[in-house]
Amino acid sequence: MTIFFITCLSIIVIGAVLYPVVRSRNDLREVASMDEGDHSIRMAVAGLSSAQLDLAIGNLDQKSYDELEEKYILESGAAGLKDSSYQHND
Amino acid sequence: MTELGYVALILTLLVAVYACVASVVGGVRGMSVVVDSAVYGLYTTPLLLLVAMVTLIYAFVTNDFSVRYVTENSDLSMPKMYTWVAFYAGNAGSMLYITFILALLVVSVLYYLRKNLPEISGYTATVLSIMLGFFVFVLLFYANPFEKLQVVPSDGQGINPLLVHLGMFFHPPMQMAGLISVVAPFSIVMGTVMAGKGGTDIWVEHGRTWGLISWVILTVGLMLGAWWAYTILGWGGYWAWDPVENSALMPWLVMTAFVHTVVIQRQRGMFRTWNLVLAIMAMALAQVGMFLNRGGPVPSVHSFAQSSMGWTFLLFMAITLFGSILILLLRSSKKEDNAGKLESLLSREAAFLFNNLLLLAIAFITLWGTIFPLIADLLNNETVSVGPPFYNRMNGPLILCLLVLMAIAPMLPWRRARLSQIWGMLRFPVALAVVVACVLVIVGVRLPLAVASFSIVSLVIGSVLQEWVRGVLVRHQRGESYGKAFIRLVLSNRSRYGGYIVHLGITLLAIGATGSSFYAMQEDFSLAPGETVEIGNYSIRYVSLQSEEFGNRLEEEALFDVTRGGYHIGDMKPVRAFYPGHNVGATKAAIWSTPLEDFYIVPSQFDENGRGVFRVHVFPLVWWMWASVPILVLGTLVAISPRTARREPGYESEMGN
Repeated sequence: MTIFFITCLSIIVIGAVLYPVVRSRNDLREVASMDEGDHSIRMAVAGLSSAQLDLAIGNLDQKSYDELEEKYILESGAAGLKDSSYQHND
Repeated sequence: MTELGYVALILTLLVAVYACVASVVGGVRGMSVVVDSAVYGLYTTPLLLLVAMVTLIYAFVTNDFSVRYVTENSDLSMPKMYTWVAFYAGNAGSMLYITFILALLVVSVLYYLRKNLPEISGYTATVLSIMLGFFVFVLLFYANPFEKLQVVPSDGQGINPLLVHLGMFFHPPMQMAGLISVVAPFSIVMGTVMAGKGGTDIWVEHGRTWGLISWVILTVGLMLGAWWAYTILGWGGYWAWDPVENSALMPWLVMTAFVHTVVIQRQRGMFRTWNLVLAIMAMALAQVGMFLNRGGPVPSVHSFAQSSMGWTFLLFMAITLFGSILILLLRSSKKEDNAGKLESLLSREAAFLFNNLLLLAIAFITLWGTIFPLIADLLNNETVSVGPPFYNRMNGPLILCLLVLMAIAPMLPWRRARLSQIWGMLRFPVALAVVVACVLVIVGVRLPLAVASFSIVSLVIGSVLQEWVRGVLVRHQRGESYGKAFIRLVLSNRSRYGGYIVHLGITLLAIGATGSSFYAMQEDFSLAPGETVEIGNYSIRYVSLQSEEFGNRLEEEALFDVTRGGYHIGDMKPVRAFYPGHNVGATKAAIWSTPLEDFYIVPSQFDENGRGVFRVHVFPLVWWMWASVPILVLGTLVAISPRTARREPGYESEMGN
């Protein structure tokens, strides 16, 4: 019984190590890059949203807000993220 | 069956070594498939270690005394429910448990990074496989839980009586998991540095998330330890600045500093190198903790884990620390570092920096107090112990300053603030603090430090409430109802508002610590059955003593009839047990707990006529310390909960989706 379990564990380990070699890499890479892009946009939206609140309650000045906005837009790569409606909400 | 566990450990070591080599070779040569192979290999390690754990637990359940570890940590009379506790009661088992948790962390961190930050996941795999490899190496060559005895005894030595307690099901696993969980932010940081991106902010959000996960596990572990000490050790306290307690406190303090300054890096691009150093420092202190836990030479109440392998941990800590600093120096980019500058000492960034300095000062005072006996022994060959008065005197004022900063820092604007602006923001919290101080003095609380502590706590509460109210009002002006505004406020910046919830939890902790430190009462009584004594508002009558013999212990339970201010509050039954096999006595305090105060009776000895010596305490407000734990956990969960891509009002038209 012990030999059987040891054999099973060894097969699992060898299978796991060899799996990336035999699978199709391109598919996974594509998925990973899509996830990454989506994540960046999510992070940027959340960050910008909190910066707007900071601006509104006076924790952030306009200059800092503009810098943050640029940063989030650059990080997300989404030009549409810019929202002029809060620019003067001081 | 134990051979299976041993082979599983060997396989884990082989996988770790392979993953280390493959991730380096794959990274250097740009062969992602080789890096993937390393990562997938690491994915199997929790299964391998689970098999090893189940094998050892099976040996306990079947009383397989041919296994040395089972013999040393259990016996035939041990209730089966304590098998889980016995499993990690000694060095080898606790090491196996820690290694299993590490393997879970390895998989979680790598899976997370491959989705969110794939460019550093290969380097992180290298760091994690080195860590995992070290622990499995120690298991195989220094603390083999599957070591066989040549002569099989008919019964074991039994579990340490101090561990036979409900708290032991949770406190050691949590504490050990907390110490090892520091590996997660450390590996992310080192992966980033090794990838040559240490001067960027790409890792910050992920480092913060894993830093908070580590922080909350350490927090819960520490609090469970305090609860265990309070209820079972019977010395009438929850914190003794014991070296092993300190060993978890030090990385907790540095992790607290880390999760604050990563926010500054995220918002302002500042403290980049500082944050990397903090993660390395937290790892080093966690390793110091493991050194002390693994039988380091510093005396501790946690003497059940004595061994000589602590020095192996110390050596590994030195290698990790100097190796990390070397990599940091070699791979750092001066050009990219510290894009933002500290523009004023009156700014949120500066307040966070002071907060960091205070936390580090407390951590290093604690470290100094912890290792000083060792240094004195090595240098002067003299035995020295550093007790609570040193820590309280040194750390107490710093903790109060930290609480003041906790109130002020979140209120300060970024970059710079004018004094008038700060006063405008602090008016309400300061007024609240002054009112609280006046009320306390009027009702008779007049110890200056206690009044200062309570009013600083109210300053923190006032500042948090004010921030919430201001945020809700701003959102309400946009047309949201108050309830919806509050929920959306918290959800809109989970990091900040989760942090505020944590700050409220810390204030409860401070309330409990202040009340129980400054206003505790303690008296010792020698009582015969039928006698009555009074302490404070309480009157206690010692009714009877009941003795019972169990397989491994003699248990004596005293019965008390307790009244408070003339009202009967019930029976209390403190217990003292003696374990002849270990020549150890253990007590279980009887505690009557309310939010106002705890009434606490602990027995110390009985004579043959039933006369007993009892220590009786009244601990005001200690209940609030335990109440703080769920709030700390809730706040952390809010702070790390994943953000959604929900657009704020005003975005929809611009985003066009």
